Amino acid sequence: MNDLVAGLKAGDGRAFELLLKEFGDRVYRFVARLAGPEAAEDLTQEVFLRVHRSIGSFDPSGRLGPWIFTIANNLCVDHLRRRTPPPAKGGPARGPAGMLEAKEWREALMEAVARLPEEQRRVFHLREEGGLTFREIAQVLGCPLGTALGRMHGAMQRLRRSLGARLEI
Amino acid sequence: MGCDRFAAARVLAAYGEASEHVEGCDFCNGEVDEMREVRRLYATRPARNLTVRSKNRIVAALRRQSRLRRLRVAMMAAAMLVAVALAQSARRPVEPVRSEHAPAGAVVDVHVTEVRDRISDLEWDARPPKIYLDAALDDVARRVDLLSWDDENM
Repeated sequence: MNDLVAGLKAGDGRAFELLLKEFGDRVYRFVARLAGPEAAEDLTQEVFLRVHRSIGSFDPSGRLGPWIFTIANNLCVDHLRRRTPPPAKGGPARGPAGMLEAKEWREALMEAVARLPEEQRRVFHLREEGGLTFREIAQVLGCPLGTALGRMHGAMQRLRRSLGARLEI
Repeated sequence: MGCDRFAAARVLAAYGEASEHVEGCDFCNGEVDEMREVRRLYATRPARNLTVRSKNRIVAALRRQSRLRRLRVAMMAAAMLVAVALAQSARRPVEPVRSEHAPAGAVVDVHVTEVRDRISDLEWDARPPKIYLDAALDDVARRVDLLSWDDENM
């Protein structure tokens, strides 16, 4: 990773291609979940353009992941502030007996994730899509580790409730 | 009944980041299992990755930004060179000195600026105090005047 950072700071084009290979999909998935799939591609491009512009100010003693996701998170916050919120969707249709198939359970879960309060959804996606540790998530959000864990716990409680009967294991 | 004290620890345990209490507590273990089930179900979501076309677009945008940055640096360097060249040309030679004793038509062309530069070059190593340079310039000016007077009287 140190070689990658050195290459990025030197403006080496291949280093940026490697960076895109390492973080591109993770950033895209995070941005798509948080800001919506329509804006995901443009926002992802903007993330990497900002990384390219600001790499000179990156402290090489830190980790690239939290820094990149801080940029991504901030862009998503700005985008969501400007955007009109989409109308809430109803839950997935149930089968004749009211039971859900596996795919429908997954859709129910995805809907529940989309309905999470913004702070909880952010932590959830930084973990699930971004692959950051909770310590790194706390760094990205600028909050204590306990706060990040608390938000994740709150998110999980809501998601567990939304799955209800399926979780009677 | 709950076990709120260890909520954070349960989250960590669900993500494989250890806790001794959780392993020994039924309530905590139950919640951890449910969180793991949520995670397992979420992991079955369809993959959403950047397309090759999108990646190429981003690479092209990064290259464009690099080129623009290099162009801006080159333009700034050119602007600085122009500014230095203008500053240099502003150091024009002093108007030719016309001594009142010089004969009509005789013009003593004194390039005080060039003299100053030459004195500076020659004296740079010794770096004499300014007073010596000023004295040297005054001496040059007196000699020019004497030459003019001599021309008139020859």
